[in-house]
Amino acid sequence: MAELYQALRAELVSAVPETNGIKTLALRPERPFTFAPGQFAQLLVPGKGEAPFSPAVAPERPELLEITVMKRGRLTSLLHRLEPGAKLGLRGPYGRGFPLEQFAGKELILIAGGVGLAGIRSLLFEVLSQSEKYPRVVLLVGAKTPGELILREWLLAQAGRNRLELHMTVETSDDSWTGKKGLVTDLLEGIRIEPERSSAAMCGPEPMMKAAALELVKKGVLAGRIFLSLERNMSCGVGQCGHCRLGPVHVCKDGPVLTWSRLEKISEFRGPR
Amino acid sequence: MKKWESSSAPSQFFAEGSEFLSRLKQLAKSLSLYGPDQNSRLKRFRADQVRQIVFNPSRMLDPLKAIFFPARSGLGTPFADDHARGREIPARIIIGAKACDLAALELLDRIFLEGEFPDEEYRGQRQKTLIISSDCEEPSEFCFCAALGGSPYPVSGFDLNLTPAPGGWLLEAGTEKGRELLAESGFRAATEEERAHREKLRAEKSGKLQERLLAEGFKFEAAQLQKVIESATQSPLWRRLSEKCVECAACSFICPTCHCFLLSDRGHAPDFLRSRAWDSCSYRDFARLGSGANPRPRRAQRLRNRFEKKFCFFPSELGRPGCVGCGRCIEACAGGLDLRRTLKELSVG
Repeated sequence: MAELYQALRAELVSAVPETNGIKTLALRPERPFTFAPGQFAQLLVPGKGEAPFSPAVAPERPELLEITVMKRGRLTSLLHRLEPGAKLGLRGPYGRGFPLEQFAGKELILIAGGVGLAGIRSLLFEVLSQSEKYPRVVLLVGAKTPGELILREWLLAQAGRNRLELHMTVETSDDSWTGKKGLVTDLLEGIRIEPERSSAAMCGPEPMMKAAALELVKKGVLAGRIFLSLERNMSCGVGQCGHCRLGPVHVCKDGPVLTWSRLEKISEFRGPR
Repeated sequence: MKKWESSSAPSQFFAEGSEFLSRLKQLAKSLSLYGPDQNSRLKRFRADQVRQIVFNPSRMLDPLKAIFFPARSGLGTPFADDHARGREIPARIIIGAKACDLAALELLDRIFLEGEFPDEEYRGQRQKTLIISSDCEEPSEFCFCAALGGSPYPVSGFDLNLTPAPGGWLLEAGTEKGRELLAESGFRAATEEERAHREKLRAEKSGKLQERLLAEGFKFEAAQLQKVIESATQSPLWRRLSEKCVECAACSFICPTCHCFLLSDRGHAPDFLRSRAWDSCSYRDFARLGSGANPRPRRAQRLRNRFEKKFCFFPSELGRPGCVGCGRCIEACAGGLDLRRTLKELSVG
C-alpha cells in the first residue's frame, strides 16, 4: 500500500457496451492489482474524482481488470465517454469480500439483480474455476427487461460448460423473450434448497436483496450464511471519511459484503419495524 | 501517572507567571506557537507577541482538531508514483488545550492511526506538536464535561499541564517530551503545599461544575445513553428537533471529534491534485449513493444519525462516547439546539 489515497496508474484497454447505459471497461494496471472476490476498488478519473466498483478478472485475460459501470451520475457519465488509451487510476483493494473458506463444500445460491451481476462476477469466476470445492452452484439473475440482462451470452456459455444452474427472469418484456417473467425472488420458489448445506451470496438493488434474504431465511438458510454485497457512498475506503457508514458498520472497511444476520440488526438498514 | 509517582524525580514543578512567559517566548523563536487570543480562537503567536496570549479560563471556541486535521488540506498528487506528499512538518507548540480537547484528540488518534491504513500525515503532525494544556478555571455556560464523567482538568493526553498556583503555575509533565522541556527550563520542584493546593483547587472546580450541571438535571451515563438512543429510533423527538436545524453543519465542523471528510480531485494532466476537506453528515447528500438513492433523505434521520454516531457507534467501536461535553455544538447551533437538553429529554424518556 502506497500513501493513503494514492492510486496506481491504469490504462483503459477497451470499453464494451453491455446494454444501453452499462459498459464493461477493461483496464491494464501499471502493476499487478490483486483482490479477493467481492472487494472493491476506487476507480479514479484524474482531476475529476473517483467511485467504488467491484472489479473482476476473466480467466482468459488475467492481465486485465474488468469493471462494469452503469451510467448514473457525473463520474459514471465521464467513464462512459472514455476512449481506449485513457489514463485512469486504481486505489485499493478495500474491504472484505465473499468468505470463500466458508463457502467451500456448500451448495451456493448466487442471486444478482440488474447491474449487481457485475458485483458477483468475480465470485462466479472463482467458484466455477474451483468446481471441486463447490458441489453445486445456482445462479439466479433478474433484470427489468431482457435488454438490461448484462453478460447474457457469457452466462449462457458458462451454464453450458460448467455445472452452473442458471435461472433468469425479467420483470417486463415483449414476445421475443421466451424465458421466465417476474422478480428474481420468484426464482427461489422454483429451485431445490437444502438449507443446512447452503450459503447464499447476492448483489443488486437493496429492496431485492432484502426480499431475497427474507425468503432464504424462511426456507431455513441461516442468516449468518446469507451474504449481501452492499452499495454505499464509499470514498476514503479505510473507514475514516464517514460517507459509507451504515449504523455501526463502515461498509468500506467491514463490508462491502456483510451477512444478513449483521444487517438485520441495523435499524437504518432494516427500516421501521 | 503511577510510573512517575514511584520515581524519585519530582513530577510537578512551579514557575512564576513571568518566568513561564519568558520560557515560552524563548521557545517561540524556534517553534511555531499556537495559543488562544482574546476571542478564544486558536491563533499563531510570534515570539514578541507571547504576552498577548490569553490564558483561557475554559476551552477555546476552535477545536484542536483543526491543527492536526485542517478544515481543508492538499493531499498532493493522486498517484502513488509521483513525488511523495510528505512535506516537512514544522515543530509546534500548542498552548491552551483543555481536558475536553485532549479527550477528543485521543479519539481522533484512534480513528486516524489505528487499523490497517493509518494516516501518516496526521501522525507526523501529532508527533511534531507539543501540547501544553491547562486546568479550567471557569467552565463556560455551555460546558458539561462533568455531566459525562469528565473533569475540568486534564489527567492524560498532554505533554505539559498547567494549574494556576499562587503567583504562577504548577506544571506537570505527562510525556517524555514534557519532562525534557521541564528539565531544560530550570523551574523548581513544586512544594508539598503547592501540590496540595492543586488538589484542593481541582476538587473545588470540579464540585462546582457538577453542582451547576446537576441543578439543571444534566447527569448522564454513557451505557445508559447508548441504550436509550438505540431504542429511540422511532421517537418523534428527532423530527421535532430537526425542524430547528438549518443544515449549516456548524455542529460538525466545530465538534472536536467529528472526523468526516470529503476527498476531491481537480487539475489537468500532468498536474492533478487531490484535496481533503471537512464534511458533515448533516448535509442532505452526504450519504447519497452513485445510483442516486439516499439512505438518509430526511433531516430527522440525519439528526438521529448524529446522536447514534456519538453515543452508540463511538462506544461500540472505541469504547467511549464521541462526545466530550465541550458544548461547542450548543454554542454554534444556529437553530438553538442544545445537546444537553436533548440528552436529558431522551434519558427521562
